[in-house]
Amino acid sequence: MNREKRVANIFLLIFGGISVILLSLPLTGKVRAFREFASYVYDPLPYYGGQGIEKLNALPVDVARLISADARVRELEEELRRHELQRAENDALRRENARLAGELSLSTTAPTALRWAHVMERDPQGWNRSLIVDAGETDGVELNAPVMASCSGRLCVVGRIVETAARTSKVLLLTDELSAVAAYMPASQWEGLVQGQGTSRMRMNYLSVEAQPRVGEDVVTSPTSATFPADLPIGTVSRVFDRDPFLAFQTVEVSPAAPASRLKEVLILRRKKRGDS
Amino acid sequence: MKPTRLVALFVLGMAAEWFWSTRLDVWGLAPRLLVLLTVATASQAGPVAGQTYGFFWGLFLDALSAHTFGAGALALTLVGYLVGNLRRQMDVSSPTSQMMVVAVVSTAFWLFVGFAGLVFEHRFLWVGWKLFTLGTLYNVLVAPAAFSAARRALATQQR
Repeated sequence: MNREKRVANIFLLIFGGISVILLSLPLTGKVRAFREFASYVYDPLPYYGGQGIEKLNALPVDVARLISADARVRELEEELRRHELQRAENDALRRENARLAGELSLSTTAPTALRWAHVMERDPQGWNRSLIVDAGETDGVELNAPVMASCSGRLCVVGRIVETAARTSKVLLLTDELSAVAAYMPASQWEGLVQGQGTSRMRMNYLSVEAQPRVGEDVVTSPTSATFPADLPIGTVSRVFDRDPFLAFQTVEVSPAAPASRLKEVLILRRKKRGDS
Repeated sequence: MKPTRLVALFVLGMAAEWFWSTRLDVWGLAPRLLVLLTVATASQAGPVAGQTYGFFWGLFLDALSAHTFGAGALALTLVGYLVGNLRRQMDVSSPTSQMMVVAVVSTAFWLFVGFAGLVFEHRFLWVGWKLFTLGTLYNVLVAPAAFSAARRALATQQR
């Protein structure tokens, strides 16, 4: 019994010490390396498990798809032929735009590519904070890449990439306390900063006191945002807080356009490299 | 001792945690299986095994989180240590007693993670009333199954 207790105390010191060191040290090279090592060891389980389950779930669907796929392919080929001319015109306009921008010494937006990824892992403890997707560095995912989802036929903002591994990435949701995105209301053009609260709702702070926000008003990303493309839906105003007469701004609550509970797939923006289609 | 069973317990515990929280969640709720298995392992195999499983299972939970990397590992290490040392003073042979132990440990776990956030990130990482109450209830309902699974995996070790 005494020996067991002694060994247990030693183990407590070792494991507890490592945990406290990981908690208290800032993200230096060594701590980051340990985190990446832990992710490298643990990620294969949800990654391959998710892929396996996706394949099993897709079996009956795949059978039905095979039957209708041929007809759909023929339709798409026909549609593609019709759009060839439009694509050629777009390419010409893009080249002319780049040439004129160069002559005027204007900076152009780098072309972006899209990558769909499945939500691989959700932690109920951090349901409104983060999630793991099955796309990583080998798929061209970069840190701080914008992440979006499809909401009623439109693309809306979900969050950004905060950690990448070889095959997986961690997405920090907009509803996390550490998230903030420059936003504005298209109806009134007032700008503010949407910040997560760690719950299912967000807050839009620093709205001018002259703004008169209404419940149901859309909130979209601002052109001043460094991470997200402009005019992407973030959510809608769900509550207008009473104005504090001592503050120079007002605050509204924003309900996200892409609720965390409904996310199954996300779209990650990445910069196009040479060779991308 | 059957090392394969011990390894299987470790891997299958994480697989079950991932699968349940990702595919079988109800209204965003899933039991914290790794907490239950840590309690079950520690109560049956002692504090050393409980801490070892708890620490590495805790790292798995931390790898999925965007905050306080190390809090899960520390919390489950402490769970393994305390439950393992107190196992002779506790009766965990019946499902009722197992559920009571899990109820106490689950509540302490949510609060510990919140306070870890308060100490190391200067904000209390509150899991929300839904998880704090209904999540604990879910843990309690699944506790007997977790204890049974751990008993089977550790049975040859105790012979």
